[in-house]
Amino acid sequence: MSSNLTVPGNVATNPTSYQIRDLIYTIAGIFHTDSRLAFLEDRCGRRMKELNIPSLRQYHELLTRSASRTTEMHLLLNEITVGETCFFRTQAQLAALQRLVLPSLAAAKEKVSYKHLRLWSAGCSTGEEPYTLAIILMEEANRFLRGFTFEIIATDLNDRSLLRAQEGVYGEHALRHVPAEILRKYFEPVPDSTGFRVRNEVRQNVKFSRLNLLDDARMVFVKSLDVIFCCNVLIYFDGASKQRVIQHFHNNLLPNSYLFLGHAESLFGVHEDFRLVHFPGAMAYIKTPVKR
Amino acid sequence: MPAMSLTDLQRRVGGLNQLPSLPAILFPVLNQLNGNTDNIDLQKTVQLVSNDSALSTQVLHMANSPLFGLRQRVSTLRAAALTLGIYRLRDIVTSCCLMQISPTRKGEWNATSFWEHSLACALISRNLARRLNYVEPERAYLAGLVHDLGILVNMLLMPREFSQVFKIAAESARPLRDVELEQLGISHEITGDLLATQWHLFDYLAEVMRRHHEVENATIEPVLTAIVNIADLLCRTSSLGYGYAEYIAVTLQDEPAWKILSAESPRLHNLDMVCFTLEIESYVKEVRALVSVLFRL
Repeated sequence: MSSNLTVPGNVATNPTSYQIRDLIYTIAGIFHTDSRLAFLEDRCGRRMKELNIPSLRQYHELLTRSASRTTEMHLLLNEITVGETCFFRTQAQLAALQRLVLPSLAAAKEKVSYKHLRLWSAGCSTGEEPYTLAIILMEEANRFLRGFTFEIIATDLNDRSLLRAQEGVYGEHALRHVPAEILRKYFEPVPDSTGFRVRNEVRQNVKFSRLNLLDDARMVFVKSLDVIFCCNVLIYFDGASKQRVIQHFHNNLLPNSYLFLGHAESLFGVHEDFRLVHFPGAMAYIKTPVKR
Repeated sequence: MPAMSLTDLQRRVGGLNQLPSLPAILFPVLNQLNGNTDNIDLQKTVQLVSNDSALSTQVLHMANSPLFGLRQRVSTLRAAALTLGIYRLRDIVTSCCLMQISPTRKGEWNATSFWEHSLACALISRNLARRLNYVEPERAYLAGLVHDLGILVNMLLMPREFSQVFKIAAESARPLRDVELEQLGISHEITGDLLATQWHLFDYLAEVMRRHHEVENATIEPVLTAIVNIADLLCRTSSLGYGYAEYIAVTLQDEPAWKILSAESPRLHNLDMVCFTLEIESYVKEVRALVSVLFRL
């Protein structure tokens, strides 16, 4: 798979960059186009400086041949998958979830004895998205979600981001869209700092874990989902990897459940068993049961 | 509010005399531009529009909007006509003329949002018609522009009742038509149809005005009616609706209009609707700016 990814005629500043690019693609499905190679070299450079490795070729050997290659790949992935996010980031999408999707899911489950909702934030970065989802569900707990239990599964490839997410402490920038009342209700000030910590009642609804979306063996265990949020993650994946991940999402969602992607992300030409649904200012996909 | 029957409505409008009249200049212009393209006297059309200086200013401003795709600015009507071509000129003149029919009464409803919606729907209908290779794409702009004129009629004929309808719809974030039917017993397609008759509009435009929410009942131009229906839905989910956020979830593939288009045009399946929707979102700013300026001119 790796050798044919290199575009003939394009010469990288360092040919080993292509080999590292292909290695990352094979392991994590993240593909760096030629225009992103400089970024990749920069992130490798950070690790090389830390380890005092003088050349990219030697670093490639560390990633492929040393006993610590798995650990080092984790650390390199931490460098290249840091996402900028904040609470209540995509407001139209969240309004659609709160005002249209959740009431419709709740109504469909009204006759079921076990009233439970399971949401997955796939590519949760430092935790802002899954905590936002938990807060929205908690806000509705005394309205149309009365009698429901719920859980938010939050996964990311970057274990450094996950540590920060579990810590649950955020500064002004991450909290800039949080309404004052929500801040007071679901966050507590951190003594001797300007930061706020997500209250335990919210944290206990969110389960964080490290997950590579291309890890087929583990992806099959994230089952029976009502909603998946996977925003601005698949943009780093090439067509084949994207298809693989979306097929997993399709398998993991319950029938007529929802997949939210980033604003400009489309499943056109990727997967046919989802139907696009338009909400005010936002779009999502509904899983169509497979015809047999 | 008591429900209203068509007879009540006709009685109320006094045998249709209270319906707005077609702007005087539009009739000769449409006549000029709807003939055989070989026989159209462009100079005569330009002369007709030039006689109305306010209209000329509006037409020139609209012609120079990025929404109409001119590569360089034009400063005379003649240049606009030559660069844009017959159909675009007709679309622009019609848009400017119709925008002059706006109720002045202040209330919950506002004419700016109405014309933003109508203009956006016209542009999206035109775009979609081209993408789908619809046989008469030049009809799509006009159809999108006039589809909701019944709303304007409602506001002119029963301002108090319609303001109340609009208030309820906006506060409950529900579709306007649902509240019209619930509160008035009639909806804007009925009044739109009355207007189309009064104005002697082409059959295909009258049908779009009457059937754009019930495309399965369209018989004259079902494909055109379906195009306008989809454009209308896309506007209403892209902040180019009636001036308030309707809480609606629209699965286009389940819409009767989609089924009509799907059967008629294989190209529909090659259309990435996410990309198309993002394209529409890029209209929002321009449409708002254009309508705002046209109202000031």
